[in-house]
Formats: sequence, C-alpha cells, structure tokens
Amino acid sequence: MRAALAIALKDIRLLARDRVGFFFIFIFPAIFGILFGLIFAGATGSGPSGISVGWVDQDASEQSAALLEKLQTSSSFTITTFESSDMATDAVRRGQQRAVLIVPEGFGAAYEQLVLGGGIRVEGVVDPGAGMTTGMIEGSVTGMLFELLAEQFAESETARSTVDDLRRALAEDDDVDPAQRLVFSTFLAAADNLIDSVEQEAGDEATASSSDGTFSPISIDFSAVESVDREGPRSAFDITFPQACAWGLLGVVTGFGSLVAGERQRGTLSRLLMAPLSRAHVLGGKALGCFLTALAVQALLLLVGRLAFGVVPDSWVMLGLAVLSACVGFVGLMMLLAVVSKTEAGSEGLARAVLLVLALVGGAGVPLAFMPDWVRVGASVSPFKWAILALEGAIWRGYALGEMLPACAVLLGMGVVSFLIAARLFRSDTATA
Amino acid sequence: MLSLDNVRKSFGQTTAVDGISFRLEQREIFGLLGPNGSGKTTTIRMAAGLLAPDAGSIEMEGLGQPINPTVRSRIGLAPQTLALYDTLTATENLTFFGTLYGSDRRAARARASALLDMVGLSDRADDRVEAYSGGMKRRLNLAAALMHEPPLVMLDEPTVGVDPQSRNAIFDIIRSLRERGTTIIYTTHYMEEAQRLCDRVGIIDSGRVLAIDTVDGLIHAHGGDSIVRIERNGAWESTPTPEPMVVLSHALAAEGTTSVHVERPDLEHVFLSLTGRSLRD
Repeated sequence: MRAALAIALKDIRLLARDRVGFFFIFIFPAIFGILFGLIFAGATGSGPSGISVGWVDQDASEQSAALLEKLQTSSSFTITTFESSDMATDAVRRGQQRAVLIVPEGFGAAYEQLVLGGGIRVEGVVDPGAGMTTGMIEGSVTGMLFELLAEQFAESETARSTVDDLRRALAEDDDVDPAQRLVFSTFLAAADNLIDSVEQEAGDEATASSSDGTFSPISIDFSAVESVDREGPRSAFDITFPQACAWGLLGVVTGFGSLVAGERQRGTLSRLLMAPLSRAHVLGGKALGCFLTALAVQALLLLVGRLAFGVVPDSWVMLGLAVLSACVGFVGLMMLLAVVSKTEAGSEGLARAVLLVLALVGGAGVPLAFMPDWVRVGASVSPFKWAILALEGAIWRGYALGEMLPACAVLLGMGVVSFLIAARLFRSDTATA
Repeated sequence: MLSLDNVRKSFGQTTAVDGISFRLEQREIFGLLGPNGSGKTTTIRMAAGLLAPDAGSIEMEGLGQPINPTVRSRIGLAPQTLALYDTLTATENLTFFGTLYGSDRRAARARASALLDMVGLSDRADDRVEAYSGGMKRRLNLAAALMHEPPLVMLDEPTVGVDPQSRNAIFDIIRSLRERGTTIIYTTHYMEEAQRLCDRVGIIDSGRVLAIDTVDGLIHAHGGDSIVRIERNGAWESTPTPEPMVVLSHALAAEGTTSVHVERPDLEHVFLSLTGRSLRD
C-alpha cells in the first residue's frame, strides 16, 4: 500500500509541475464555470440576464401599460420601447433585439369584451436564430396576460365594474344568440354572487385568503408552481459549475493518461515493474493518484462556486455521492485510455479525439437541454452526461436517492468495466513487451 | 550468482535471443558485448525478470527465478533509456524509487543523499533533472538502480552519450561497487570499455553467445597474430606473427632498421573476427 501511495503522490507531484496540464485541470474549468456563469447571469451575477425584446404599443390602453410594466419588472427580459413596428422590426433584423412585441389597437378593449368571444392578441417578430427563445417569450407573455386577467378579477371593485360593463354590453348587443345570452347572464349572476362572498370574507381577517387581503383565487396554484420553481437553478452558475467540474475531470483524465503513457515512453515503467510490486499495485497507484486529483479538482471548483457564486447544493450527501461516482467513472476511463496509448503524444491525441467529443455530446459545452433529441439520446454513452446530471441532481434538481442512483450507477459501472479492461490489457502488454 | 541456461525469446517472427547460456560469478564485472540488435537488452530484461523467456531457465542461485518479485528485488537495473522523472529533483527521484522497495521516506532520503554523493551530484541534489546534462542524468540513472542496495546490478549501455569525464566517473563507481561485493553485468558495444572494465566478457551476436572468457583469453583465442611493422631504408614492412618479440629482436639486430612498431590484437579484433564486418542495425 505504501508503494501504491508513493506512486500516487509522485504522479500528483508530476502533474502539479506541468504548468500546461495544471492550467487545463484547475484553471480552465474554473474560468469556464465563471465566464459562462457571468455570460448567462449578467455581470452582477443576480440571475439570468434579460432577453432583449422590443416593445411597440399601438393601443396605449391601461391594459397595455400594465403588460409593459410586467415585462419591465421581469428579470427574463430587457425591454426597449420603439415608436413604430418598422423600427422595432429593423432592430431585430440587425440583431439588436432578439424579438419584438407589438400590442395592436383594440388590445385593451379585447380584455373587456373577452366574455363575448374574440381574444387578446399580441403580435411578435423574432430573430430566426432565436430558436427556443421564441417559445420562452411566448410562454412568459402568455402567462403575464393571464395574470392581468386574474388581477382584473382579484379586486372586487374592478371585478364588479367589469361584470357590470359586460352585462351592459350584453344587453346592447342584439346579435348574441338567445341560448348564449342565457348562459352569459347566468355566468354574470354567478360572478356577482362570487364577488359578494369575497367582499364578505375580505372583512373577516381570520378567513382572509391571502396575507395582503387581496382576492386571489388561484393563489394556491401559484404556490405549487413556486415550489417547483425553487428546484430549478438559482443562477446560471448552478448550471455552469457542474459543467466546469466535467471539464476538470477531462483535464485530469488527459493529464494522468499522458503520465502513464509517459512512464512507458521514458522507461520509468521498467523501474516500477522491477520493484517488488504486483502489476495491480502499479495500476492501483496510478488510479489512486488520478482519483485523489479528480476529487481535489471537483472539491476546489465547487468551493469556488460556493464561496464566490453562491452555488449551494440541495443536498451535500447527494453531492458527495455524485462527486465520488464521477471520480470512479473517470478514473476507469483514464486507465483505459492510458493503457491503450503507447506514447504521451498518442495519449493526448486520443484524449482530444475521444474525450472532447464525449464532453461536448455529454453537455459539458452546451447544456443538453439545448441539444436536438437525437443528440440527447446519443449522449447516454458519454460519462460527461451522467456526471453533469448527477452533479445537477445534487445542486439544483433536488434529486432524491432513487433519482440519483441511475446516474451514479452508470458512472460506477463505466469506471469499473473500463478499469478491468485496462488491467487486463496492461497485464498482457507488460508481460510481452 | 545468476545463471542463464539455453534461454530463448522471440517477438513474432523475430528471434531476439536464441539459446543463450552463461553464469555470473559473485563480485565480477561481466561484460555483454555485441553490436546493435544483437539481443543484449532482451537478455538483460529477461535476466532482470521483466520479460519471461519462451524457453530455457534463469535462476538466481539459492533464490529462484527473477520473474518472482522477491528475487527481482535483489536486482538493480539501470536501463539504457534514462528512466527518470524530469520534473522531479534528483533527491525526489531517488527517494521515490527507494519507497518502491519498502523504505520509509527518511531512510530513502538518507540513502539518496549518500548515493548522490557517490555519483558526484550532491551539489545539484535539489535541481530538477530536466536541468541536468546528459552525463549527470546517466550518473543519476545509475544511482537509481542502487537505491535498494542490490547485490546484483545490471547496467544496460550506461555510458551512451556521455563525455569522457562522466564515463570515467561511471567506471570508478562500477569498480567501487565491485570492491564492496556487488556483482555487475554490463552491456556495451564499446570495445574499449569492456576491455578496461570487465573481468569477463561474453560476445553476443544474432541472439547467440559466440565466446565467453577474460579479455586476455579472448584475445589469445580469437585475436589473431600481432603485426610488427619495421621501417628499413625508408620503406615499411608488416609481419604478422604470434611471437612479436622474436621478430622484433631480429629487426633491431639487422642493419638499416630505423623504426619499429608492434600492433597487438585487442578486443575489437576479437569482435570483428567473431561477428564479421557486415553492418548491423
């Protein structure tokens, strides 16, 4: 054991003295995590920076102003107001805005006439390259429109006024079908009763349905949604630091792989094999050095994330499980790559060819959520996918043990199988070399 | 000390060692002399237990086969390639190799210090190996083979690419090792080295041992005649003879002799006589 530990410590020392290797193991992953975190979070690090969206208000109603206010207070958007739709569309074409929202005339009236049919319409122009951003804008704005509608009914005075307006409009409209008129009249009467009961309940503090006393009929649903939201990433750094850990693991595998090949190339492997050690000891020492370094790299990166960027795991136990599994998986991979390569150059070339592809496919560069479906399916062969998934599971996905185990099992399985193959190859290689 | 009996080793279709047999005596320096590709390094690797022979046997007397780690631990090997870690210092290199043999760090550092003194590197002990000259690396490579104080040391071309000063220093170290009771097997293709250093020499070619004896014995058996050159009346005559003193005394007694020169056969004559003059690579 002492000899295996000596091999491990020697390898760590060799790695630490290789400045380029040290950069790619410790510095580059940290830069990746911080830089991309800042890019996605904005320089203040207070959350995702807003998608640039142009705003054209052709209605100038109370409702359009309310929607603008919601957009401006949302951290998801950075709103720029344009005087005309042409100017705004041009800004999108020139790449200055990701999208434009155009509120057409009649937008406010459509709210008031909502019960009589028709609909609230907002036009949009998006950058063709915006991809998933289109869906995000669409979803967010739709949500805001519903919120406006809910707010309209949330205050009893406004709600009663709206109901009165609707009753008046219904009476004046001769084109409404008698059956529909009956349905609408019944609905409006029910709405009156509802508002009456809300006013009565609002007077009784003990039965107030919300802390500020406003009527909020879907407030329970909101709280359920908020609960799900809290399991999401708190900032972009929650996403980029698991990726940084993956890059760190890539650096460790590359560095140690070339160290093992270097032993063979420079002849020191003969000295190791001359010593009264079994080949298992030699391999074990190499694996131990790689494991300890991988552990240190991940611990260091996560410490930087914790102290400087507020990356706090949902569960430290799950994080420990994820980190250990990732280390085992990548140590096995390192051993396999190292044994297959005969020279340092060969090892580095193999690492670039295999690991970089696996890293990129596995979501270490662009998160898998942004990948096409076929890539996401293919990514299952990449240990990077499972390492990132396990780390995310511990940091922000809120994984329970049962959810964490599949990713960890895949990593452990990959590690053990790779190591066993490597041991077999090493044994036959050194017996006949 | 160590005996090889009819040892064979092939790599694919290439026979590297073809029935080699010899026996090392204690406290001797045994030279294995042969051209490039003659099988010296393969023989050394099998004798050190790094390679298993295809046939034949290798025994360290009283202990067993070197393929056994316990037996192997009695052998020190200085490989032909400089088997050192460039980014570690000399002390770190030696200490690491010492710990592989079970030494604790303190004992390994003490042994490293003594060896660095022996090979003349004490003042550079804390420099990284990458800053060393070729000769310094060769000396450190030798020191690394001695960390666990093995009774048998195998030196594979230990003077390749070194200057005369380092070569002489290495020779002195090897002689001092023998004086302390170490047995040494030394491969080289430099005749002069073998002639100066070795108690016995085995000449190897194409994986076979062609002759084994002391240097004088080899020269006597395979070196051929001495050549006496005589300058008489401005002209040189060459006379091959097994008795150069007889020819020399006749030449000196004769009139007109102005100069004489005797060329005695050396190991190179033996080597070329046994291995021929065709190129090997």
